[in-house]
Amino acid sequence: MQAAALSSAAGTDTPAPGLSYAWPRMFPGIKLALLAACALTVPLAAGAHAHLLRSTPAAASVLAVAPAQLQLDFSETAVLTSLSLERSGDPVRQKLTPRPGAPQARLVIELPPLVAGSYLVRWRALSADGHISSGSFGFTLQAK
Amino acid sequence: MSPDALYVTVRAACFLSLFQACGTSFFLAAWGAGLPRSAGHIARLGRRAAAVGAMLVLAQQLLEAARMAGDYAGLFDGGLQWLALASSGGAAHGLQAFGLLLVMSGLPLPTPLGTALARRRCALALAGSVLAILAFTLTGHTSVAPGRPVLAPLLAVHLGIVAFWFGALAPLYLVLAHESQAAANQALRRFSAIAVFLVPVLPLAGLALAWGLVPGFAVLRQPYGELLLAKLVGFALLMVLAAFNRWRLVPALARSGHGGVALRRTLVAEIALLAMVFAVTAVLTGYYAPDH
Ligand SMILES: [Cu+2]
Repeated sequence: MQAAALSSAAGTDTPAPGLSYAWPRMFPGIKLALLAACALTVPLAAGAHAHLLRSTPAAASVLAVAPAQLQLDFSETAVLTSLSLERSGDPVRQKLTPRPGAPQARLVIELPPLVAGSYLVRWRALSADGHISSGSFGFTLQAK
Repeated sequence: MSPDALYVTVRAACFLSLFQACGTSFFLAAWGAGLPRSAGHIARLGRRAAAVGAMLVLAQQLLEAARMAGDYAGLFDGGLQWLALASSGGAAHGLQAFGLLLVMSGLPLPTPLGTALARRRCALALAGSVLAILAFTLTGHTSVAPGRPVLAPLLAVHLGIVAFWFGALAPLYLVLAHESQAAANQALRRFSAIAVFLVPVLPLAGLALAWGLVPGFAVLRQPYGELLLAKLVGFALLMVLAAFNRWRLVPALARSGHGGVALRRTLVAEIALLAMVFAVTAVLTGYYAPDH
């Protein structure tokens, strides 16, 4: 082996060649590790990073009637993990997060009765790839 | 600091310690026996890196719930913690922590290396390192991409070479500090004989991964693409340093015995540059996805 040749040529202060003795002994360990990893690599889920495609009310829309629901359409199935609604001027951000459910591409959330004002919706979702995506959009509810 | 920013910071530090731990195991398995005076120091470095890495993996896992909630209250939300544990990220972190624990239990190496016990311990650390690296393929974009059968092995190769390369720099520093001239020369020569073949594979695997994951060149105008380019620039700078090492400093050291201090300094510079590349990668893989 090359490593053995190298070390024997290099001088007297090397007790044992490194590569040539170590690697064969490593093989059982590596095989075990690879097997364990293969067992764990069963496909976990299909899908990818979830982006928000559209929402109802739509981003930057101006509404005359208070919406009863909020609908979010994602590019992939995702679990909504956080949703909040903030009316500009109000100090408190309203949390709307439902208990995390099964991954869905379309999420419909009931809204509380809304008064006129401009609102900011913030969301966070967990995708199948393990990533957390987040975003925000606003809409305005006109006074009657 | 927002949970996202803290998460990315912890992730970058986790890359550093995990690759250090795994690379140290590779280094000792390959060349430990020829390093009577520094093997103990190197093993201690690997053990500590593995311990820090395991803690950072745990911290990252706990922070997932805070990121899901958007605030630190999420840390104490049992439902979100459970969701994080059951996600593909939870599986990856679990396997990484397990691998790093194997490295920790393998690296109290009895010196001199060469006994049956030392070989078994080394094999344990090596197996843990392989697991910790393969764990990266359980989550992230390659794990759900249609080309997974190709992309996941590419990612594993990419990360394995990163661990081998980055993880060898600090051990080489210790070799230069503690070993005899002859042993140090030999270790440097053996390392660069392998690195010269492996390191060029790194950008090839990386570009192939980007080709499989990125929808088109438009992505280069998004943060995701800009961060990818930043990685390439960092790599190019590293190649300049590595070439300087290989063709100037290492031969000079072998010829005259001078230049050990300069070589140690460039090793530190390489470590610092790679740390920056890891930080970019932590942001890239923690925050962004290529937009379609
Ligand atoms: Cu993603």
